[in-house]
Amino acid sequence: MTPFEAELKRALARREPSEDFSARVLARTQEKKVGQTIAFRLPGRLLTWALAAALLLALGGGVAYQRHERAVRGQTAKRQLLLAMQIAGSKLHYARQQVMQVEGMEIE
Amino acid sequence: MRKRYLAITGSILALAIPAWAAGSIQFPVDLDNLAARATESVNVTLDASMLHLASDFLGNNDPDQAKVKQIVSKLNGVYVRSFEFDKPGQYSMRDVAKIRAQLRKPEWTQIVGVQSSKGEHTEIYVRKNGNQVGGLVVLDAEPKELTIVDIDGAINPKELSELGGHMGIPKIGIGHEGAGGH
Repeated sequence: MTPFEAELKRALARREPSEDFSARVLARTQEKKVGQTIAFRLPGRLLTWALAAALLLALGGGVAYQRHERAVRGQTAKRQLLLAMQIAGSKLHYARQQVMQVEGMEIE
Repeated sequence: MRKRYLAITGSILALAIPAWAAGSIQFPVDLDNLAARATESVNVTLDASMLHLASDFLGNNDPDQAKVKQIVSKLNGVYVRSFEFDKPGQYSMRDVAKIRAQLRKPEWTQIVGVQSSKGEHTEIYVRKNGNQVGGLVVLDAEPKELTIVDIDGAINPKELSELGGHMGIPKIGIGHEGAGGH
């Protein structure tokens, strides 16, 4: 056996791991998992908040738009109503005058 | 093919009729075509929900608006079609006759009918609802003007006539005294 062969044999010889090897490996694995979870959770939370904020904005915008639309429709309806009342009122007033004129002529 | 054509036409008419049957009376469909020939036209269609909405925007501090609000609270609808033309003979008396025919029903009573030598016809009809007025129609047909006002609901004609010319409404060229035109 050459010195090189002897060196190789020693290097490749079976050696038992230390008693805490499994525990250390498991601990490291756990550490990695925790790290990974944190790394993935943070964007998820941000995404949730962003979605919630967007939803709130959309809801707020929707309510504001609805209010604006109602106000526009209401003002238009009000103008139409006042115009209708004015036309109806003036026509009735005119008719009353005509009737009074006819009655006046009959009396004379 | 002809049957299908008739069925389609019938469906369109069936859809169109309810839109015109909204108030106390049905306005003839031809009436809206008059707007193209008119120099000035007014088309007001306010059903109960629109009246309610309009009422919300009427101010309580303005006495005229408060009065309108009070009148409107008892109404189910207000419909106005008014057309003013630059020359006579622009509308058909058949349209007027169609409206008059609807007002000959027993529930309607003509309270005013004025016919002037200038060819002006002004008629006022009320619909009785027990001892109260449940609706009012004003029909004003003049050589160069046609106005139909249909008010559906409990209305006092006197209350309404008092409004003319007293509100801060922009004056229009339709009507007689108070309306600023004619």
